Amino acid sequence: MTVEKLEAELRRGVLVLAVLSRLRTRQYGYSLRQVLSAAGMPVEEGTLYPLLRRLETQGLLESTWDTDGASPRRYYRLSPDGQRSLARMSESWRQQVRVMDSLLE
Amino acid sequence: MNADDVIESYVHDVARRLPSRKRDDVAYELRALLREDLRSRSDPADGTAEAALAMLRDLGRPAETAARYHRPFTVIEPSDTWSFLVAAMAGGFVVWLLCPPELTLMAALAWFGILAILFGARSLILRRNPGAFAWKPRRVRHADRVSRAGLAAQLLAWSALLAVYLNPGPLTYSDSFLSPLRMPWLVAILALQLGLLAFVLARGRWQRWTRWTRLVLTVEVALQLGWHCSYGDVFADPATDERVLPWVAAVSGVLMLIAGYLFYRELTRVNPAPAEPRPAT
Repeated sequence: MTVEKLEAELRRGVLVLAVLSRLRTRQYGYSLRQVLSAAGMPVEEGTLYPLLRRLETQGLLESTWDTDGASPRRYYRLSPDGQRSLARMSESWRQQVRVMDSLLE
Repeated sequence: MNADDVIESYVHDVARRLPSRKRDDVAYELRALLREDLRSRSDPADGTAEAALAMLRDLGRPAETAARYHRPFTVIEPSDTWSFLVAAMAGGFVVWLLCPPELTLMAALAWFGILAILFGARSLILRRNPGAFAWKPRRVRHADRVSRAGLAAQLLAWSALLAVYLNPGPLTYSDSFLSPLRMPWLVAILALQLGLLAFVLARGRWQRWTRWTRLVLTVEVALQLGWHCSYGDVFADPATDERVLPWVAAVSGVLMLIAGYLFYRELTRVNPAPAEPRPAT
């Protein structure tokens, strides 16, 4: 049980990076969940949907409403700030992976 | 009620907890996402109201979901809960000691109300300015080390109480008070307290058992004095009882407050670090 909680904490730590990485192309909440889940990172809707709003408030995402289909959808994609942040966070992540690999050897 | 009604009810309960500037927008998006979530499930039974309810219960209570969208205002910050409880209990204790019984409930409720306002204001200030109320260091007093002057003052105060108790000057005790069941007990307890303080003064430091013994004896003296006051018939002249006993009751109350403070210090006590070995010379 404790290990599961620690693993969940680990996943939470990288969730923002995972979300930003999938928003180079536009996605709406539900489709993003599917994409992340297919990539091996299932996320609860109660975590993901508010996170998207927060990232938008922080200026990392832009959103537009699409009301043409049967149900209205709010699409998110990286803003210019978000693209810069993603590049920087990706580099930071790779560095951390190298550090962690050396620690775990 | 169908599945859409259940989702609508949930979205409404989430959105009404959000600030007006984001309420409608979040509701619009959340409603669409939840409907799509429900429709996407493969089992046809997943489109029923029961399935919608199960899905939403997995998502969490509306208040929890709303809190993920917008950090709610808290009257008492979680990190301040301990301070609030201590202040509430200390104030409640003082109210119980000092207020007449018919006003106790009202005064206690007033105290809790004042505390809620003060902590709410603190929480509001912290929300707007997280750097407010910055921590400041203060000198830590090692409670085990005896302050000789302080302990001598305590010895003097307890001796004075014992002396006045044994010899009330021009006042005369009643026969009832002088009976073996009433007066001698307090003398014994005061003598024990004096013996304890003299022992600690000689040792130069407090220990766990001496601290707790002092606490128990202080409570015991306060209870004895309080009991004398409530039982009455202490002095031969009833007019003297009326004049003196309120002061004795006040002494009892002060001793209870001191005991409460000592108890709080024991509860929150941080033991000093073990002494580091001195380097060889």
